[in-house]
Amino acid sequence: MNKPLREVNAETLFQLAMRRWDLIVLLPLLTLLGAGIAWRVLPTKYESTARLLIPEQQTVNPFMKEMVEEWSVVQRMPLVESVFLSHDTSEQVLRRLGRLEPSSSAKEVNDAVMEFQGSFDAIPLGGELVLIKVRGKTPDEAYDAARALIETFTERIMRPQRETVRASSLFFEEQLKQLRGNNPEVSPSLGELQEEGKGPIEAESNLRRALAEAEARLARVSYEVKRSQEALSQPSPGESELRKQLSSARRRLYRLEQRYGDRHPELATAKLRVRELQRAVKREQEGAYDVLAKSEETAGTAGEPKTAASEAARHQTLLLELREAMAEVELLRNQLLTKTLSTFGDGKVWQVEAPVLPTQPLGPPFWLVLLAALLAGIVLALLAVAFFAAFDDSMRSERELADAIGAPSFGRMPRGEA
Amino acid sequence: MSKSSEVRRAEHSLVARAFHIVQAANARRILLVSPHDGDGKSRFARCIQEYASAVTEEPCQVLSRSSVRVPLEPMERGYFWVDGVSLLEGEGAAVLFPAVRASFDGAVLIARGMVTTRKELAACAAQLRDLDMPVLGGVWNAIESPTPAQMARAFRQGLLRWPPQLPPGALARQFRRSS
Repeated sequence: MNKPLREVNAETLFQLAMRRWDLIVLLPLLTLLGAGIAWRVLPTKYESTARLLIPEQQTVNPFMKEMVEEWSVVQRMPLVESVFLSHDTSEQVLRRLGRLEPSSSAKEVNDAVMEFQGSFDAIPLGGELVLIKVRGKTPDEAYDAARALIETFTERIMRPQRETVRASSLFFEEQLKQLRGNNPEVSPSLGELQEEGKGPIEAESNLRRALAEAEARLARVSYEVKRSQEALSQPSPGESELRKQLSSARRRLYRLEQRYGDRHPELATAKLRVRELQRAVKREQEGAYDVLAKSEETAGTAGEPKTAASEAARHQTLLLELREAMAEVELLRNQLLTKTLSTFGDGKVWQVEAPVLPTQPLGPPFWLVLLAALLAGIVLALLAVAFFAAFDDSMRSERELADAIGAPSFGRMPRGEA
Repeated sequence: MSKSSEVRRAEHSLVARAFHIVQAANARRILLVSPHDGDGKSRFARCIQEYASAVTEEPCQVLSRSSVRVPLEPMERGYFWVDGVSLLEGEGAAVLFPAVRASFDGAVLIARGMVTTRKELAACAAQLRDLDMPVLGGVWNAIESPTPAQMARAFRQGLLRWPPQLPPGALARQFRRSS
């Protein structure tokens, strides 16, 4: 025998709900109470956020270009994420924050690192931007952890570039030292400015000023060397006369060759004349070189008359100065690059949005939690009512009454005193 | 507490329909039965007493529960409504031994909406069938199943008082023990 279907309509549902009014009142109250207790008991968390821009660094080292990996966004982002999520990064951050003692055991370090790695996220925002979210139990904790994480990350990701730049700086310093050892009379470089006790910004501006002055000096020395070269390349009066005679003799020889045969006596005389003049020019040049060589020993003597020898010696000095100026400019450029990279490390260039000290705890406001708990309680209560109604056999309508007794229903006797 | 006009209209309608049905069944001696005490037999009997003169010109008498065992002779005119027997409590249907059973033409079953179970109703109907007592009809007692409008009205009336109070029975709830 088939069981008749139960009556379900709006009024029936209302009646069922009213008959379980205790559940409808009690469950929302309980959920409200639970939410309030959870709000009080569960630790409040704060979140500090920062945005980092990680631009391409392709030519940080002029000598070791091939050692610097060409970074594209596709290659860079996995590297950035791996640096953030690496065990070493987290361990360094924790040590920097003082949350790990030097004597901590490997297990303690591992546990602390695992816990810390669960408290921050590095989210690529597309392009070269990365969003950092660091959570902590207090605003200061979150803020300090965010700063330490960014500093550690920057140090780690910039380490290869710094190493190559440092190596090239050492090379230029060595070269400059050698040059100054060969020519001790050259004035000290402006690049040797004392930077101790000055801030990074002042140090960098000093470095930039020194570089500008070194470049100006290089330009001046280059110009002087060029002029000196031009002056030295001009022949002496005697040599000029000989060269004129030589060219005249060659012209005459050419004409005679056109006019006579090889055995003509005038032709032989002309050839002899040309050879003599060539030897004379050569002797004149060799004499000038001897003078130049002797001038190197006496170069730089004060009050010396301006002779060809002194000009040659001055040219040699200028060449030395030119090499030293070039080495100094390169050294200063490397120092500036090193300084710029360390400035990145201080977080003044890469941090599009610096870590902010959170003022509001993480999560929704208290009133929203209570509202959600109330709604959840009501839904829970309705589910409980539905559950009990499923097992409730009570008569729900006049039709069910008529069906049960096999006779018509007279009607509904209303509420109210008789 | 005076009844509202709405309640009066509903009760009048109920009594009129009851007389119409028993008249159609040619029943003059009617026994009110219910599964349990407090299911509304006495209240329905009071409704009959109050509205009978308005719905029929024939004489009508409502007898109390103590009159169940008093034999009633067959009659040509008028109605006897006897309040009544709780079939699932105390002696139950045993009260209706053949002499008593012969005093009635039929029974009307009073049940509390949202409280009386279908199982109880089926048990009562089976007992009456065993006694060969015709079931003339049933009455839905809405004492514990007010409509939303009735509930809202009751709350409003209660809250308008000082001190505010819930209307009696507004949140009353009674679950039948298993019979």
